[in-house]
Amino acid sequence: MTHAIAHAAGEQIDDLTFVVRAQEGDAPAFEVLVRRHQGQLNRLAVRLLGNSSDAEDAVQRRSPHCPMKLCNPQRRWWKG
Amino acid sequence: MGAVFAEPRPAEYLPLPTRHGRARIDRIAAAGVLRYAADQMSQLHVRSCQIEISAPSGAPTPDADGSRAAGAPSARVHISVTVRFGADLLSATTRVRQIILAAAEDLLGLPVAAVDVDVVDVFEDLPGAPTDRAP
Repeated sequence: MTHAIAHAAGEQIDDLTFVVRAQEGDAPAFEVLVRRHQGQLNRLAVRLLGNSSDAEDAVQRRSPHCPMKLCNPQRRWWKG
Repeated sequence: MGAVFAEPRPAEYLPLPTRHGRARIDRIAAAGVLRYAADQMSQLHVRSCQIEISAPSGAPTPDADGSRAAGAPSARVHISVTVRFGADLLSATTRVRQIILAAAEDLLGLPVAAVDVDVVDVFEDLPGAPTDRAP
């Protein structure tokens, strides 16, 4: 059901709303954030690491930790 | 993506008032139901939705069919919303309160004592964005 919201209206709702929803445990909200920013994350990782293979691996390895980091904004998501 | 979606925090359950045995619902799932109901309004987007349970009052609150336990706990819902620029705020907050009360009762069977609504931001429609949801 929440998937339906995220997919139907996701493009109209601001990132902060989805961040708060993800912090409150709404998984589809986190999915929307990932989809919106996947490209930026990949490009940043390529610039930092120098090749697309390592970049893709780095982004995929950090993504599962993002919801927990969203719950504690004092910690940057890309740090361990 | 399954690993991403796994909820690492321990589940918190809200007790549902029943006469026979225990029934409870995950707090996140319950909040999702209420958020979905309120999100059907075109004038606002629900940002945060949290439910807290207050202690039983001791007074019986029977349903029409008598299925609800005496002294059932009641809930207090806190929601924050962003509202479409230009919308009537009083009307929108009144309507969302009615929707939350109805959804909690009809979809969850959870009596709600109060709904606190915070308007935390306003938004404008993006050009070409569909606005086909219920008013």
